[in-house]
Amino acid sequence: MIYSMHIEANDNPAMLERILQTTRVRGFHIRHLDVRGHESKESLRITMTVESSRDQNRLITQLHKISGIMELTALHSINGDNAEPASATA
Amino acid sequence: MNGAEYIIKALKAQGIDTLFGYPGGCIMPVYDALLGSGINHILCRHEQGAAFAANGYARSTGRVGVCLATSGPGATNLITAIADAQLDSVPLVAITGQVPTGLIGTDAFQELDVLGLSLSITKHSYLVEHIEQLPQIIEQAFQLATEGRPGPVLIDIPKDVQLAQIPESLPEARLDQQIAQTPNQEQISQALTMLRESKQPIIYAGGGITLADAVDEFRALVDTTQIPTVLTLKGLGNLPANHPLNLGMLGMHGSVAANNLVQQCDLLIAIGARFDDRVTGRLAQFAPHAKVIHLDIDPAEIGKLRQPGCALTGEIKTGMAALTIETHIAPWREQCQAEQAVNGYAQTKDPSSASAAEFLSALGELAEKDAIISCDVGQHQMWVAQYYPISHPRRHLSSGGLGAMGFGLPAAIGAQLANPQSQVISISGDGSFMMNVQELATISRYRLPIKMIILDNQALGMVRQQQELCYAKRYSEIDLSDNPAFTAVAEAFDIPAAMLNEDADLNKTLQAFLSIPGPALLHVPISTQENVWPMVKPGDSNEQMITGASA
Ligand SMILES: Cc1ncc(C[n+]2csc(CCOP(=O)(O)OP(=O)(O)O)c2C)c(N)n1
Ligand SMILES: [Mg+2]
Repeated sequence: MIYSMHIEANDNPAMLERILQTTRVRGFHIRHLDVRGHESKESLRITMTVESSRDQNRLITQLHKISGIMELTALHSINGDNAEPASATA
Repeated sequence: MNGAEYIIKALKAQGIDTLFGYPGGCIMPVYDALLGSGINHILCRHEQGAAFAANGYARSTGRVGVCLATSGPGATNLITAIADAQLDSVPLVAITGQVPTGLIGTDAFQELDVLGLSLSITKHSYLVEHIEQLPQIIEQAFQLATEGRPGPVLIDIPKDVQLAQIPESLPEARLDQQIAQTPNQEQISQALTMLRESKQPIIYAGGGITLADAVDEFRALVDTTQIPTVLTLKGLGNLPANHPLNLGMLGMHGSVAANNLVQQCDLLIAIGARFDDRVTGRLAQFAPHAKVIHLDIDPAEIGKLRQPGCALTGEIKTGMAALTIETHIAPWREQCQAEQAVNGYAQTKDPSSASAAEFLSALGELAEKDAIISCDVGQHQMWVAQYYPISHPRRHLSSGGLGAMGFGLPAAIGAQLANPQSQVISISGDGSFMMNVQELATISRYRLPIKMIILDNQALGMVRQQQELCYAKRYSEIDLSDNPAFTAVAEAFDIPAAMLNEDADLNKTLQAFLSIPGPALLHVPISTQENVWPMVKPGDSNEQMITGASA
């Protein structure tokens, strides 16, 4: 399955590493990553697409535990040619 | 006031009375500020010892344990004990010195990326980049360590930040208070329906109950519902050992009854437990007929390994209160109790020597009822879990998730300092004891009245057992027959010590040992061949449990 999500996070030291490490350790491969800093808000806006045989929730619930993640929205998931909208879990 | 002085002030404001640590270059300002501060600093003899002591302090009280180390090697030495706190959800704050901010990234002397090292073994970690951040970070660290599912938090503080002056006016502390989730009404009524429909329910209770400070509520749940209960290693003590509904520990070295009955149940109520592989054996075959109700404060545990029919996510006290109803399961309860009476831990006795089971049962009789037992890792740890009557989970310190040898001795130090009135007994294997043996110096210096027991089988027994049973007796690097004379080692640290010899009266020897006023060590030789039974081989289903008789 391929999943996409949008993350808004505090730009504190190692935030991006935490997200990447959690993604790897929980068994998800990154297919696409877009990170934009937002200077005035000291935050990061991240769009990430990952692939795994595991359920998306296994990653979302772990990412939610990272201190400093302010918003996390699952965008959509694709299973072969069968695209379906996923519910927001933030 | 400089940063270091502020750290001490903030620790005192958090109610911290004891620190465990080891000084060095980049943490020297904090050690300077410690002088005359009124905080009790315990100098351990290795940073791992200090972090395990803070860990034992926290496990035995539920309060935050704090440890302190310098940059580089000081910080790396903390890592095992921080990881242990992460896997067992222990509230710990580790403070490390770091090279001055201007030198970070230059491969300076004793510079390591401690923040990077900490990521996967902490609940959260901070690098303090500016002095203005310090107050808020300390506040947040203590909040994070205890709130929700507890865990370790690391604060890495560069030396120049420790020496900088704290500004008069500071930005307002922003603390995002987590609102504790509670299970909703719909989930609760679904769980109640499942409970009422079940004819063969079992409660599977873990360490989360203690973390939620909910042991009393849990006991009320069991007493009212009268549902037979199995416990994880960290759940031991949630029910008294002799409680009529306590079927004992389940899993790899669980009781035969506990494992069999879980395989037969039609409803498994998991409370503060996480379906660890040491508990479930082959997951796909675990409790195959059971629907699951899962109570846990951490949403990430729900459905991680076993999909529940109903999840009560959030404060487990609320979920447990809702399930505290009368049930009508008398035939099942009687079946469970009958099986429990005959199918315990299946110990086969080696007649040639004192068995660990006998020794620990005698110790359980003679020690104070609420003694704190601190274990190491190996066969002896499993025998303690099986045969020592643990009175409360906070009275049983055991490295569960990480299984870190070397835990027992320093954890006992922390527990004794946090509970000066309690009897603290450490039980180590001969291998584990040597992993933090330097802490004898700490115990001796502070004259901590810890009673240390070494169950000496002259081997890395747990590894030996698996080599015997899973590797066709091809024994590889498990021999410890050249152990040092443990009594002489203790005596060198000015700690009285004795050996339990074969023809001595066990009860008398134990009584004399336990009544020594200060620290003392008892060396207990046991047979190398003794195994922990029953056993589920790694990767097998719990139904494939083997006992001594069939091996
Ligand atoms: C730090 C660490 N290294 C290695 C292991 C693997 N291990 C698990 S039990 C064990 C043997 C422990 O020996 P001992 O302390 O004498 O206990 P026994 O099993 O003999 O009772 C080993 C090596 C471990 N758990 N922790
Ligand atoms: Mg041994």
